Amino acid sequence: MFSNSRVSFQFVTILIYITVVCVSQVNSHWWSLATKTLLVGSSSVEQCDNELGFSHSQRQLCRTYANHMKYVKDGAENGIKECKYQFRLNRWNCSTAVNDITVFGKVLKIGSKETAFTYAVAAAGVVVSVAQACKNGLLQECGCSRAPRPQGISSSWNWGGCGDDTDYAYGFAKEFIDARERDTNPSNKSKHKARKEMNLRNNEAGRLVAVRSSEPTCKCHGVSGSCNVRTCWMKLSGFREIGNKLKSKYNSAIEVVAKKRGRRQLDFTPRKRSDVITPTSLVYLESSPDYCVKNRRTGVKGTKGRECNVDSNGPDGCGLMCCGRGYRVVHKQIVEKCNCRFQWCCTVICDQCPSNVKRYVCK
Amino acid sequence: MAGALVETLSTKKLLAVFVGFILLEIGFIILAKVKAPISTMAIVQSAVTCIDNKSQDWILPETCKYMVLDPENHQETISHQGPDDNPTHDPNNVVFAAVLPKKIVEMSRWFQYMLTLAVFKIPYNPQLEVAPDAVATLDIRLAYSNNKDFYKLPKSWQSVVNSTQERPLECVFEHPKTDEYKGFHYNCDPLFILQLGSLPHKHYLINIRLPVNKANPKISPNMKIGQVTEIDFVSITQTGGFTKIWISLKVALCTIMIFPLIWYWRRVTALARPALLIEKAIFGLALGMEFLNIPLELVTIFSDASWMLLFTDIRQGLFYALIFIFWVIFTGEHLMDQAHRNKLSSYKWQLGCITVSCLAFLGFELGERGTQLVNPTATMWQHPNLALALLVCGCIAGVLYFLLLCYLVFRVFRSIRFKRRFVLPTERTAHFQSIVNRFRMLMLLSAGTAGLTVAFFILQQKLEGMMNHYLPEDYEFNMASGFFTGVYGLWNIYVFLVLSLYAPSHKLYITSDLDNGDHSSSNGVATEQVQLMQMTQEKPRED
Repeated sequence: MFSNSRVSFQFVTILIYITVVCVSQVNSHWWSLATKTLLVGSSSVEQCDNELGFSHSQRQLCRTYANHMKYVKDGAENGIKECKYQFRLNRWNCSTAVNDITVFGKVLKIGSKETAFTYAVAAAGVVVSVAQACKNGLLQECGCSRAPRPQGISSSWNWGGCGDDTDYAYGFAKEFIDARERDTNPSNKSKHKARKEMNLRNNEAGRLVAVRSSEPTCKCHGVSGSCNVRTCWMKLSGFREIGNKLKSKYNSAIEVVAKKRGRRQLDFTPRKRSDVITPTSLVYLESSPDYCVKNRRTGVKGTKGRECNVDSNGPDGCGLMCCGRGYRVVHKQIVEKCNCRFQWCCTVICDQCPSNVKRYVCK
Repeated sequence: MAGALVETLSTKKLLAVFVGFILLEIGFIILAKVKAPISTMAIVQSAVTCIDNKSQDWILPETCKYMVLDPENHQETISHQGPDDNPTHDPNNVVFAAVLPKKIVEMSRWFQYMLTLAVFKIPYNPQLEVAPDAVATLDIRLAYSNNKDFYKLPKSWQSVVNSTQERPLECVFEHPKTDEYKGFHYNCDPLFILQLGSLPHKHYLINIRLPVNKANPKISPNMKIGQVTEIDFVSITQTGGFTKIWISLKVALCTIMIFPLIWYWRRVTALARPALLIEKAIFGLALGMEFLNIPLELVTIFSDASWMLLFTDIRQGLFYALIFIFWVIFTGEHLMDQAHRNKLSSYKWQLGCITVSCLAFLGFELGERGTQLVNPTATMWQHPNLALALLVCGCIAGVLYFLLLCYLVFRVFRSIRFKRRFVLPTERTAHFQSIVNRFRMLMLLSAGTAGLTVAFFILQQKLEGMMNHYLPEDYEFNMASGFFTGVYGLWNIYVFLVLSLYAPSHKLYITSDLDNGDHSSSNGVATEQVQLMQMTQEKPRED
């Protein structure tokens, strides 16, 4: 009897484990990497297999490009950070849950504008951090060695120099991030197919915005400084600038309807006729859920307890933020640094200034 | 001038020659398009920010103590008043270090030269803006190493230069200067760091400090440059593949061009009379071309010849000078005024312009690349007024030369028209016509060659502009290499055509009255005045 129950207990454990793995497979996301500490060295390859956030192909890529994972993680982190910054004044504030494999919670299951932004900003984050790593000489693959590299990127250093770092970062990010979508093989339900297509498009939009925000800078260095010899290179702008661009893409995001074309192909047509879909536009399928009230089903956390601005007419104003529920006034005494005097590089001399502030918090 | 070969050729033969050379020219472009990689490359690298306790050792990016220059972090960690003894808070201890090129690759002698620039990353901070007249004072140290353990051993590095330089820092903030845009980056112009004329070593190390005078902030350097958080180094070199194609092209052209050169000179010396000025000018032009064709760049592959960059520029300048001299002499010698001919002194104004222009540019070159032989971090723009004065002077003299040349060409055409109508007796018309055709032919050839060069230049800039719209697949598309080989081939063809078409002919040898006139006109000034008077009198009737 005792032994029997033990067997059944083990059985149940296994069953639960399988269910957990399967479920997390569906909802999990590679950007959960952002919340983890990565191992470096030989064990990092093994970590690839235990990484629940990865899809099948992503695990393979992780094994081949184990050294890239640190920068994928950095990229995801930066993406999430930027998302929080850009949406700090909105009802949905890009809130993340600790120890949640989906990072952003269930809310991303909805194919909304916000989901579109999240995918794009994370993809852009990876492009920027991989390009940065290339520039710092931390990744061999983009520095013209013979090490394996994604397709289409090849050149020999002594003959033609190396390819552009941004170019490499774009290629890698495309390979790695889109692998997750390529792995999912949605059943015939066109809803899932459409969602796959939406994710792919927003990933690409994020990458392209990152890449296109790099501006060419040129230098003339011919005879007597003339321009008969001129060399250009791409200068990647800071991530804040990229975040801003993506935010404006979010503001002009296009709601689309999926239409079948042929047996497998899907075509997106904008719901509004006047809209034109470009490679960098964010697209979404469903309208956003009500972000005002906490909702277990959709995963919305609600705006209760959020700070608001009484003087603002924008989305951070107390009227909009608190969804008409009103707000409480909280008095706080804080000590702030003030009258700071900077000096290059490392010295900041500040005074300590205590002050009383009023804070407004949504009911 | 005696009858040239061009006068004896039939129109059909001439056309065939032209078509042949147009095909050859297309060949030059295709050669580069198919074979050569992009002509120059830019390696962008971030410097590692190290903290170092004022040691005189070389700071290596991999082994040094890192530091993050994030203004926000500082605000959290340091908040105090009074003197500060913490070494990590002393700007003089911050070193921006980078090994060029990246760790896994080596420099090659085939890269020819390296121009290194620095791009400062400065986030906007309302309390510490970049002043409009900001000057960055850079303490630049450069070393080289051929050691295997270059990345770990500071001892394996040998110093090349250690110099303190000042550079004007021009930064633009493209957003409104409000708190909302705090943390956005300024757009700063790249600063010149150094230029090496040859790359005989495998690895180069740059250490840069931005020194400040802590005790006396009012007179200290680097107080207006804002909060530099990062430095990117951009190193521009020629690509190895392009150097190889370029040298091969030069070897080929150098060997081919020697034959028409010898052939021409033998024809000239075979004449009974001494060589005419124009014949000498043509020969000089061809010699200049041949001098430029000599593949001297090969020397840099076998020895440390950092003077090659300067020398190639001088060779190029010499060719420009010779071609300008040739144009003015050729035009002048076809002025049908029977005065002042075959004498260099009659072109003193034009030659003066050429000399002034060339000397100005030579001065700039010696100041820039000449000084860099001694100190690679030096630049003429340290004294912007002198540099600008030289360049402006060179350009003005050049423009003046072209105006004088245009005026001369105009005079030739006017005199041709005038003479055809009124002066020449009928029996001399045939000879006169051949001289006119000879002149027109070269005008066409020169204008065509110069026009194509300009067209190539514009096309290259346009296509590069298109490339910058970033199409990942088309990124490799390269126009610059085709432009260089195309233009180079074009001028070789030009010189070849001038040499062969304007060589004295053996078939039809006329010592015309016109040519005799050159030597015997002692009263040339008077004749010209008479003719000028005639022309002005005739002019109203012409119109």
